[in-house]
Amino acid sequence: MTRDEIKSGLEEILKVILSLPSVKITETTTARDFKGWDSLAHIDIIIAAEETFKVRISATKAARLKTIGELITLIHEKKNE
Amino acid sequence: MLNHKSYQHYLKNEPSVTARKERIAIAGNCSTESLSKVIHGYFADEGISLEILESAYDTVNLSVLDNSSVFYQKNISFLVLFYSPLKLRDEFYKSQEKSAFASEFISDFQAVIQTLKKKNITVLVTSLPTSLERCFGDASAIIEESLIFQLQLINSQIKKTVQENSHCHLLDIEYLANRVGLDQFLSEKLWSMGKYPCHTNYYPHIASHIFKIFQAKSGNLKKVLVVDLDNTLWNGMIGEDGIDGIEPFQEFQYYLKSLKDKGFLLTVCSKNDFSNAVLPFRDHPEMILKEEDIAVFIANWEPKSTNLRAISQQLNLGLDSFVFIDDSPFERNEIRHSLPEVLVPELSDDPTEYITLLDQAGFLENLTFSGADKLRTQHYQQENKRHASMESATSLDDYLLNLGMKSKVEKLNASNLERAAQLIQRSNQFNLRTQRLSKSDLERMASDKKYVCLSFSLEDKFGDSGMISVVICEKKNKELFIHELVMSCRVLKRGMEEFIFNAIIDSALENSLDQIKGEYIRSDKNGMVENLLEKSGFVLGTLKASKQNKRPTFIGRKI
Repeated sequence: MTRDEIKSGLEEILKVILSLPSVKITETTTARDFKGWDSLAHIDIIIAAEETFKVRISATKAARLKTIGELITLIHEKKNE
Repeated sequence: MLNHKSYQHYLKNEPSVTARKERIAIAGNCSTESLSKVIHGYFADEGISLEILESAYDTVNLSVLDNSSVFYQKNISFLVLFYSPLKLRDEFYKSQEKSAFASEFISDFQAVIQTLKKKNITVLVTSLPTSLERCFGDASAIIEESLIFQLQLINSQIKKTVQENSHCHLLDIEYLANRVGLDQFLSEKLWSMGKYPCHTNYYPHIASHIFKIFQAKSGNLKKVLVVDLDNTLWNGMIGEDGIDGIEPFQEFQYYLKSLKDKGFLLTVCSKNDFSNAVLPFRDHPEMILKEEDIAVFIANWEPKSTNLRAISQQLNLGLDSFVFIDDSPFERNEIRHSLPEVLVPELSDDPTEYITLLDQAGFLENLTFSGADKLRTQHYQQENKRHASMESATSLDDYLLNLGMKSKVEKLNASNLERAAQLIQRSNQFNLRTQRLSKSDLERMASDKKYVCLSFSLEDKFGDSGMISVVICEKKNKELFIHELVMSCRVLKRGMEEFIFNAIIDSALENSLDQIKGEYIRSDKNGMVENLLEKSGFVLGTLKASKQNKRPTFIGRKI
């Protein structure tokens, strides 16, 4: 799975969870760029990412993520382990 | 498990503008924020706009013991007390004396429950899944200092408390966790990230449990099971295979029989000739259900929707209290289409799955259980005999006279409270104000001199109908106010109505009150008693001087 595929998968997830008509993200996008991305939405996004990409994301790693790019890297590494 | 829509669906779901408004409260030792949103979304799908009052994370004791708490400022249907075993685990590790952990928790818990009782608040308490880590291996379950030993102790004490307190009901989270598997249900990750009590995938299940209890509390109960015969109660077609060619599904029949003993009316609706259909009930040695277990038995070639209407009329019970059990997808669809108010659980084509499917279809919630439940089918069968006898009588008075009716009027007391609460919960049509007083309300009123609480039973030559009416009146200044009046529709038009009002007048006289006030509050279902007060001599909306000596004046107010 490529980083681009993961990125568009995440865009779909954000669309659903943040109830937005469309979502465009870049490697440097952060939670603060979205109004509805609070701590509850954050948990929902991590769960949805786990289910969509069939990976496990630990609570400690999820807590340290700063940008979408880091999340993509995390998923990418897990998928290609 | 039942399939629900997704967590995300309910999380964002909003009620329509026309939805009925209700309010509950939730408090827990865990985060209940997104759970509350899901409950709100679940109720929205059921046409209810639910406001949920929440206490902050882990402030159960504080918010319950605080008199100015938000729970006490507005009327709520009930309070959900949600306990996560993961929070208890964290506290257990910090506690000094491990073997006293449960007793300390329970003494706080009891204080919470007793406070809520004084505040007259109904409580739904969660049970605990207890299979967490085991420092002593298998022996943990028997070693007092272990976590799961203490959790099991807490769990059994919670259940015991609920059992002993009529204002409490159990929200059996332990059962739900067992059904889905604890590894799926609990999520250490979500606990660590957000203090979630379980995985969000199961929030819709929890919401549905709460909704079912809510429904039962509001009196929306299922009462009648309509069962098909061929390939539902037995393997084979009686019309073609004959009595020796069919094979009864015994486990399923035992299950239905236990539902009947719990108070459901079992009825049969089958496309068969009656003489064929009834044969196995009479002569097949392996049949568990017998003819006397069936309240109404219909076998003909009419559409099933026509027959269900007939059953509804005969039992005098609304179709919205019906559950239709049929192996044929065609028949299920016919009923869903023609009678959408009937609950039609999806059955699989594998009869070994019937019990699980019905058990989880969500119509079994029932907040009360009394010994009288077992006799319900018998009562309806007696009713059939009465009908037959009425048809042969020369006049209505003649028929009533011949019944040899005796009614016993009793004050509510410990021995009849449970049945009274149940009657109030189950009566929809003959219900003057639909107050849905609970058992704990009745307990309180029965011991309060301000109230006159009466129960009526009825017996005649065909049998004992048991308690069939409850009347709660409140003494206000010089008047007696009819706070609640319910009667079972089984005994309509037998003069009971007049008898009950005479008893109310007697109570007023005994208490030297010279006025009786009644009030009709319209619900979706109680049109039957709309004119009851006028017919019983009440004058609408105005005070009127009494003409008969010492007899109280009736007045009525209509809403």
